[in-house]
Amino acid sequence: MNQPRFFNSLSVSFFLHTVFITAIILVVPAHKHRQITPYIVAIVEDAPIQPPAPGKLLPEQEPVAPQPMQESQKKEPIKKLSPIEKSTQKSDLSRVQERIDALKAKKHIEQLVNLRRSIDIKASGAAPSARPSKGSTSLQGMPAAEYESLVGSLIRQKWNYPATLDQNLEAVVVISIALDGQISIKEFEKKSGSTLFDRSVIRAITLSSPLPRPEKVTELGIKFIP
Amino acid sequence: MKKLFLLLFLFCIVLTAASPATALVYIDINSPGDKRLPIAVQPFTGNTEISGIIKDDLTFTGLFECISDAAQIEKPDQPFNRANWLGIGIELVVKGRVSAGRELSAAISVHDMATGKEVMRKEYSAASSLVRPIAHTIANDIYKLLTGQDSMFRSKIAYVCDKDLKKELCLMDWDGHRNQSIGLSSDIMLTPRWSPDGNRLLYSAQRNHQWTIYSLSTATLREQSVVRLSGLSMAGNFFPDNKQYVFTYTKDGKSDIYVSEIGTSSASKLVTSSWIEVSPTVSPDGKSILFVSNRSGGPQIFISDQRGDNVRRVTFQGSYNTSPAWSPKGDRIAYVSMISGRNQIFTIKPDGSDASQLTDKGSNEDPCFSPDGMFITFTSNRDGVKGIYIMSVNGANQVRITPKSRRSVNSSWSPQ
Repeated sequence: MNQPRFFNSLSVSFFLHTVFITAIILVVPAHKHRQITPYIVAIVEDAPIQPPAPGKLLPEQEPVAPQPMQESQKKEPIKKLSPIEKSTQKSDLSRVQERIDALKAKKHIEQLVNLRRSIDIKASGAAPSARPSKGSTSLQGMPAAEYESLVGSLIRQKWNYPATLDQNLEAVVVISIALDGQISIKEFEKKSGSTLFDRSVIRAITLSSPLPRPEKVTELGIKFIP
Repeated sequence: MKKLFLLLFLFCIVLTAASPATALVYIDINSPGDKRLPIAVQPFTGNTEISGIIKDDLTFTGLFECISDAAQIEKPDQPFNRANWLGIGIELVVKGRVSAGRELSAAISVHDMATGKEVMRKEYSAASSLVRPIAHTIANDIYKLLTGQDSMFRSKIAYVCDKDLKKELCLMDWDGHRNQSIGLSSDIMLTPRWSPDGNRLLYSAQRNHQWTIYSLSTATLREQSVVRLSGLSMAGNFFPDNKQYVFTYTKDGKSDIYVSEIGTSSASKLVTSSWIEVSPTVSPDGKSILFVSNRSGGPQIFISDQRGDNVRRVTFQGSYNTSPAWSPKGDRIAYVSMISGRNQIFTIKPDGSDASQLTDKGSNEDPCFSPDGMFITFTSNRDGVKGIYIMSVNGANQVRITPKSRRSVNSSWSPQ
């Protein structure tokens, strides 16, 4: 009697463990993705270039800095020291001002990040792309089929093959589109038999990289038929 | 227990269904653009004439665009550095160094921009007078590297030109350069045709009122009479064995097609009927023969098998179609069709479909395919004096390659 009970409890334990482990596998990576809010990184990097914070500093500094310089050029060389002293005094003031502005900028960035997050959540339930790249634009929320046809038309625009050459050819290439839109050729599934044709196909793919960023790493088979 | 296993089983099914689909999506891409492939041929150090000829050769194919020297950051004498060429979007960089002594010697290196690797390194040497042949050979190697096929750059064109009141057999490069007379003249000279191995030229000539078909050895330039009959005999071309050939024999106003062999004095009838049969042309595989016959009224192009049987009409458009010529692959036929009293060059498939007109200026005749099948030479009077012209197989880029001062006709390409 004891043996089946033990077996039953062992099975239940195995079942529960399996459920627990798979739950961890399925849930944890998605959760991790949500925790990485990579847009924060991007915006902080861009922030010093953006005008709001330094924009306020500039009009105050501009009239102060050039005036003593112009005066000092006209006056005797000893008096050149005084504007420097003045500027050191003023630099303390400007440091305080900078801190205030930095705090303002930080608040502004936080607002932006919150706004961006809410937009991202609205656009798609998935985690935002991890590595935003310079050349490509993000197409969050675009249906997969639409994205694939966009990829097709973008690669076609870069594809050139002379009309005077044999047109009865076909090449099939499997590509992988990374999250930053970079294309890598995974496999030349079918070569056409024409060196120039195969070259034109590889060239079209290479010239199309980076593509607009996909929602997830995307693999596509592309049939090139003139 | 059973329930528990069932639950486990169901759980596994749910897990498999929940896993992401792995089926690969395929998309079709059609209608490529017709832009040329950009490459860079740097001026060769020591001899820019050679690099210039290579550029001309590659550009003329219509497949490549050689970027200008001004757009090249890297100097010709600097070693190849991929970084210097990034951003221009070129496919290949060709560098060369030429040294001239007793012999001309050229060291060429070709770099693939996709990988940054050197994909070809070769040294060429020849007599210093052979600048153009050496350049055409280098151009052909680059072309072959990119296309996987030989070009027509190294082939020669035989043709008939006027000298004083006589006709001469002449030879030139594909681009009209190194134009020279072989030194054989006749009162009339017609239809030079190369053997597939390039060792012989077959042509018809009339000397002292006697028509003869001659075979000329291209190595020794010695002429050999092969058909001498008491009528008009016109040379066709060789079978792939380089020995058997077809010709037309006309007597008493009736023309028939015969086949004979170099080294024998007998000939056998191939196509014969109560109508006129002329201009026989053996296909590259030797299995079919094109000829012109008036059996259906006006002259039309017909095709038969190698024995002259199973005759079928090829051209149905136009009432006057002549001068058939096979493409090297045997997949197209060039011919001449009369339109509004003028001859124009057409191409058609051997099954009679897909006829396409290629010329419309002046009167054009004697089409002949280049050995790579990419070009057609023909005779035209569009600039006054008849001359040899070259064009792409689709009729693009029609250029005269013989001088305007000299009447030149009947072009025939040598093999590659």
